[in-house]
Amino acid sequence: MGGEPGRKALDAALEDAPGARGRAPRRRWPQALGSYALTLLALVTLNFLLPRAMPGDPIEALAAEGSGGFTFGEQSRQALEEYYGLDGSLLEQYGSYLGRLARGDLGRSIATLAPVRDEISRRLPWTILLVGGSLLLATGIGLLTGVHAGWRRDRPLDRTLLTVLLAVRELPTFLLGSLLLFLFAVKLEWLPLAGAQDTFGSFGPVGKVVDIGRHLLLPLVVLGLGLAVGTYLVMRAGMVTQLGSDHLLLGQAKGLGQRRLKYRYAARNALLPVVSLAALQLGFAITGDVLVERVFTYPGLGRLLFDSLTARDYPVIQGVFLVVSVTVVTVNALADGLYRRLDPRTVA
Amino acid sequence: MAGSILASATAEAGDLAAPALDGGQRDGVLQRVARRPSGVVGLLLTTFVGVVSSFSGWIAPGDPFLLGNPALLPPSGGHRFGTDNLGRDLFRAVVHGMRTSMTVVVWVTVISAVIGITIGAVAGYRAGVVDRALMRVTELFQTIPRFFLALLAMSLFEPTLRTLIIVLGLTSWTLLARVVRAETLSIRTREYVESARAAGGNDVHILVHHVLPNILPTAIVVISLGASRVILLEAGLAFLGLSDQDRMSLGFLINNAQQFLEQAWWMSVFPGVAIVLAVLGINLLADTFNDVLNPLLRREPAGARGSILRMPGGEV
Repeated sequence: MGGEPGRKALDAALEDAPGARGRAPRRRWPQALGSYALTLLALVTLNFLLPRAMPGDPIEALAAEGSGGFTFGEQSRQALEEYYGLDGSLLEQYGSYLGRLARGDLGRSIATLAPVRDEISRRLPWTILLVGGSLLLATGIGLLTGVHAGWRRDRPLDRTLLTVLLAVRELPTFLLGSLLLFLFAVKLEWLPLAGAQDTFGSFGPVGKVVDIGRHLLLPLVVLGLGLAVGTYLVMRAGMVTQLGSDHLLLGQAKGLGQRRLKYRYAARNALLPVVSLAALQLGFAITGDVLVERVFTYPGLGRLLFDSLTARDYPVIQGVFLVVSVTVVTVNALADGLYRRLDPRTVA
Repeated sequence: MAGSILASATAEAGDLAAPALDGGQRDGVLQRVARRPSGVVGLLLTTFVGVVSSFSGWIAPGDPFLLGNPALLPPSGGHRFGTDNLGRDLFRAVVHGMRTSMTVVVWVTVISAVIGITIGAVAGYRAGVVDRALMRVTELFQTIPRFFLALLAMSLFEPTLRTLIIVLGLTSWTLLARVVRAETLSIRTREYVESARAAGGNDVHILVHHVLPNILPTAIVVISLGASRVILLEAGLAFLGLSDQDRMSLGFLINNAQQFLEQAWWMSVFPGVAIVLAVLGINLLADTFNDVLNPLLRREPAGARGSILRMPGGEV
């Protein structure tokens, strides 16, 4: 799905990064690591403090949620406070919270009583499939169209692509999803309406893959299309910038072929911003994923989040927030490091 | 690259700051925006949405949640946009939904503009330790996934418009702060700033009278680029059921319409069109601002400019 030119260019950029093993990057990365650790701590602290800043008594709120008008005796109240880590001073609570977190304990779901970690890891594969797939799709489409459009700037192809993709950009993901769902699942009945697989069908291994693919197709396209616009625009802009550059002119003067000029000379240099863009897009993809999963009743993290919102299942909501934000921050930090290796100029 | 745009404004104020870099262009920003087709459309759409939301109570009086009409009526003279599954008048609902969108956008924009410009200008002007500290804070805020934080806050606290505005306002200023800082860094060593300092101007005076006018054009571009995304965030949260129960929201309407796609197309089409119009209007305007105020990118075709700032379609 990566697309031949995209892959080639990426490989080339990876192996050809000058200074990748040089001395300069070393100096900077401890600092980057420090700021990454600080961000993580801030996220964890935020996740700890927010529910405690809730107005009113969380235990009372809990009682009100479940069985209205129910009041606790002193003993059950203490038990509950201990259970939810709400006993002791704020600092003690924070300490035990960090301790539990370090052990991977995210608490228990109020609705199902299952550990939040299990709830999340049960749904995670579907989200990874959807988000990862759409990022690949978006990068593939974006690179291919961006390289061609930028190379043939202002030609009909470029104009058409620009118009179509800019129009896609104006549509909110969930609106686009609703429309496609209506068209392909309700009207044409080509694709399934909801879910990630057919619960009642019995398929062989191949049939299962096909079934999962059929369920995945629409959410994947909806999510991927929105993201592809970003990659496309960045890649196109990069190519356009390359067009007038001296090294391209030199290549041309040497009589190099168009293909070589386009991919090895222009695309390769224009590729750099796409690296950091892809990481940024993970954040957007996960946000979009929550909405798309709601539209297509897809059983991933987004669906879990939505169900917990409806059930006011705070531990799960918090758990998902933590997992998502930590993932996004981590990937961005990694991309930052990669970028620094790819582009020696970023090392001052 | 700043300077030219507010040249007329500052000249009017009798200020010697802001030399016109590319001479001759003494027209106001709005005039130059209005000369481009995308600018005209953007202005018209944004004005339209702004007027509708400002006068929503007059255009569609009454409670948008009011039930009592026959359910699922197609659009007709009595109900221009039809009614929904509970017999709510959709015209009224859409008009009030637009108002909610615009309320959120305006407040979030104001809050984030104040924070972003202040932090960016101070960091850039002071440089050194202050700069490093402020930029570290900015980085911190930048990495927090906004949508999820808003989602968490709306579910933990009372899901009111105020909660939403505060959370989005407090998390939407980072890009602006970075851009403003970069601009300020380049401006603080210019001659007219030096001369103002030599003439005995204190820091606040210099910031307000000499730095601010020159970073404003770039700031306007960044602010307008971010505004449409706020509409989408609000709609997205409402789509998930996280909206103020007393405020009609376009996202809420679209979510509600999903089960009735086959019976009642009007339930999703009208709120959908309303969102698209609002987003499109602001985006076109932002693109044109970028075009007019950001001379470095002027040669690129409309829409392709400012792409990295814009992160199209992605967030919602």
